[in-house]
Amino acid sequence: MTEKNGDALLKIDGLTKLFGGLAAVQKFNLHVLEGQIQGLIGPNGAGKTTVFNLASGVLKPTRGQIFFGDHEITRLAPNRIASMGLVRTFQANVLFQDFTVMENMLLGCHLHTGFGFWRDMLNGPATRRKKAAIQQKADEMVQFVGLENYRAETAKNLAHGHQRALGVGVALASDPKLLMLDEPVSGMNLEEKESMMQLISRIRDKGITVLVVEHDMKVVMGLCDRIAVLNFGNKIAEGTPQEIQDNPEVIEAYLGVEQ
Amino acid sequence: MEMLIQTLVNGVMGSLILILIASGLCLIFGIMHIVNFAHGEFYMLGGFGAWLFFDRQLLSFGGPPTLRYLWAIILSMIFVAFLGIIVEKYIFRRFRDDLKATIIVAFGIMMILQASALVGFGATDKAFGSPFSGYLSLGAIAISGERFAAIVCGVVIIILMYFFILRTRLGKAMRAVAQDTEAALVQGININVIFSLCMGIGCALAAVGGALVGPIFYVNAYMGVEPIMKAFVVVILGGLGSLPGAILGGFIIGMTESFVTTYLGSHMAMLAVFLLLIAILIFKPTGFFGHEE
Amino acid sequence: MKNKSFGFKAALVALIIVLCFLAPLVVKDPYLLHIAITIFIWSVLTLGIRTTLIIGHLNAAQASFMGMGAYFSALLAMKLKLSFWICLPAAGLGAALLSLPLGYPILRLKGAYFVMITFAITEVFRHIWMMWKSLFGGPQGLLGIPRPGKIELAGLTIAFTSKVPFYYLALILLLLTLLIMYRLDRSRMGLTMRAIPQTELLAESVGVPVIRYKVMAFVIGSFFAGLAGSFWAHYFTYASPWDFTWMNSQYMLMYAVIGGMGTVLGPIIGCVVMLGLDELFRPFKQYMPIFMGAVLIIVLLYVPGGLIALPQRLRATFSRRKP
Repeated sequence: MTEKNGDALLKIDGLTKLFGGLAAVQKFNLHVLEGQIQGLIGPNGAGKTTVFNLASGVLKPTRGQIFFGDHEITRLAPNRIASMGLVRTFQANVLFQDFTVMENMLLGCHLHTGFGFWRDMLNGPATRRKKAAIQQKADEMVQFVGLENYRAETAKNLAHGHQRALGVGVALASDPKLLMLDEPVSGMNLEEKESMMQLISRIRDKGITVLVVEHDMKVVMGLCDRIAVLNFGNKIAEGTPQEIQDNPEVIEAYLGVEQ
Repeated sequence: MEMLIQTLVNGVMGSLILILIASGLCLIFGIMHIVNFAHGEFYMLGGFGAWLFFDRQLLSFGGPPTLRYLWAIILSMIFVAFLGIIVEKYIFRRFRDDLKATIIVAFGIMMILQASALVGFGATDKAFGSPFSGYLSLGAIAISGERFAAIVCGVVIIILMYFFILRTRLGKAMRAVAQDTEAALVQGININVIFSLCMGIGCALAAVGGALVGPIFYVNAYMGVEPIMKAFVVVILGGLGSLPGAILGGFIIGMTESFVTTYLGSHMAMLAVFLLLIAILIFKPTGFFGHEE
Repeated sequence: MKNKSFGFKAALVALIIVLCFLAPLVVKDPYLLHIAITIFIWSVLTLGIRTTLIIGHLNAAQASFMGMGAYFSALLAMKLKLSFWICLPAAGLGAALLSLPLGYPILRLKGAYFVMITFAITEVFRHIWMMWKSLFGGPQGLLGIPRPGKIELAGLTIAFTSKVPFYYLALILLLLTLLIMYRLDRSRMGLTMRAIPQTELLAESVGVPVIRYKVMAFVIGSFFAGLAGSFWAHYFTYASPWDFTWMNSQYMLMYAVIGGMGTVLGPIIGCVVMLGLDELFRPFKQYMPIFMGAVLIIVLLYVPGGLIALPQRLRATFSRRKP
């Protein structure tokens, strides 16, 4: 179940984000250990997605630092951070809505491209081989997330659960070292949730570290090795699922919100 | 010295006209999120309207020229506002969520209106009979009645507009829709009526601008092309969606244009205005009072 | 994959290209050749503006880059006495190189702001050309631009004294543009460019340096504008600021939208139809902008994919009617 503690792959130190006078995230510390599934939970508006936005470069922090592996990534652009192996998904279904599943996945493989503008245009045999290899990789990823029957389907026509799966697949396609999942099972029925949980396990089995934000407690408790709890931008608890479940502050923060 | 005062007066007048046009643009963008590139044509049609109703004496009831001119302005406002409402209701509204399409459609409407004016009124400049006899003396400078009227009317209308937006219920409704369309819906505000009202007022403001400028210079089908470009600079300088910004921006651009034109020529003036626009867009696209999208 | 219809379309296009090459043998009227040349060059410009349209931006500066190419080419030929065949690619490269540093700051801007800044750039250049009489000839522009010199090709001497060599040159430029744009569409870069307007957020998230791709599209479009400008200058033998206004860019955008942005043929169809109609109704030319504006709005409302998508939409409408 729990892997032997690896090194901290993602180190968030003293992260603070102020919007005007409001602190969305306040002195937040988190070390995500390699090979683990780390959960991040908290009531609505606690700042979880803000943490994601700060770590992935969409927002710049007011104070604090973020390290990924040996590099500081605090103020880097999102595409740079992605190229270093830290990729995230989104709470909403952010997809290339007018593209097919395959096209979405091909875009997900962007970081594997390996050829520039001129080679792309001239399209010699070496380039074509590389393109075929990417096509292959994209196809494998489509199958990994279980969408092989929908290759040619336009993303916006997919069922909600499939759209979420595609979102995870696109993020995975770049071969990240750490995958940040933002509410992967939101809006899903029981069957779809089961599917997603299995997918996340398969992701972990591939050796990819996972940081997951979720509201569904069953999913969180079932998947995560460690959980951190946010409330009003502050971390109020951290520990194993069991420790979190018994923590009185956590229970109070949720005020008995059952899942 | 005289040149300075003349330049000042022209600057104030130009600024007020710009503010009228820019306020209309601002309202239309702030509330309906339409970037109305065709706005200059409503200004132009306002000028032609005033010409038709005053100089050509259409729908005129006789009386002293000044009164007839006032009546012409009012008629012109009403007709142009009506046209604007129709254009918004049947064309712009269909593209409500697609910003790019709105811009392209606005270009199309601009072409249609401009060409219609050319076809309807011909390509020659139309001179206006003077609605005012007499001049106002300011030291050695004589300010013609038309220019004085433009300044006075401009100020009056801007004050009225402010009063309407800030004090009346309808004005508050418009501001509500500008802030959050869905919330306004929930409060029972009829969005479509507000949109029509907003478009009507915006186009009426532009029309007044054209009607006031007509007797000072002339009217022709292309008279809206340059003012709209300057009005956009004003709106961006002031901040898209901000009326105080439009006023501040209007004075800055109007005075700049007047002074640079007098001392360096009109090409330099336009160059200055557009370089200013480029600088704002690169360094502070939200202008003075605009909101982050 | 609709392979049958692709083969049919390809054959049709090939046939039309062959007909275009053979046309001057049959059509001798120089005025008709002039119309064809105009359509070819406008197609190049419209294809160029389509590239920026694909990444989600309305580029009001396309006509201005055409002007830069025209003036640059004319000055190279007149002041440095360079051959047209150097001036032409130089103009394209010049326009492209100028668009590169401009592109980075302006492509950070969204929607309407980008339109306005390209609009402002166009006006700035126009006023500079109008004011700087010694270099650019002021409001009348540059006159007496030399025609392309004689060239020897396969034993034949081609002199640019009639419309025919210009016709072929314009046609070849168009085919070159078409080829490059087609390859761009089918390349990875093209796919990535088309992804960007759908969601920049996700594009950045998968590692795409969005601004770099946007600039590339802008530079490519400007390159072809420069080429077209050079041709224009040496064909008409004058370059005037009135040909390079934002209204011209607006027309290019219109033709691209009316013809259809989805494929490379769309802009060409837009130019052929609109410029063709413009010619046909020359006696009514004051009404043309009204007609064009109306066509634009009708296409946007009812045939959003453009005229090139019309057969598809008609088929869809009629097949729905079958019980």
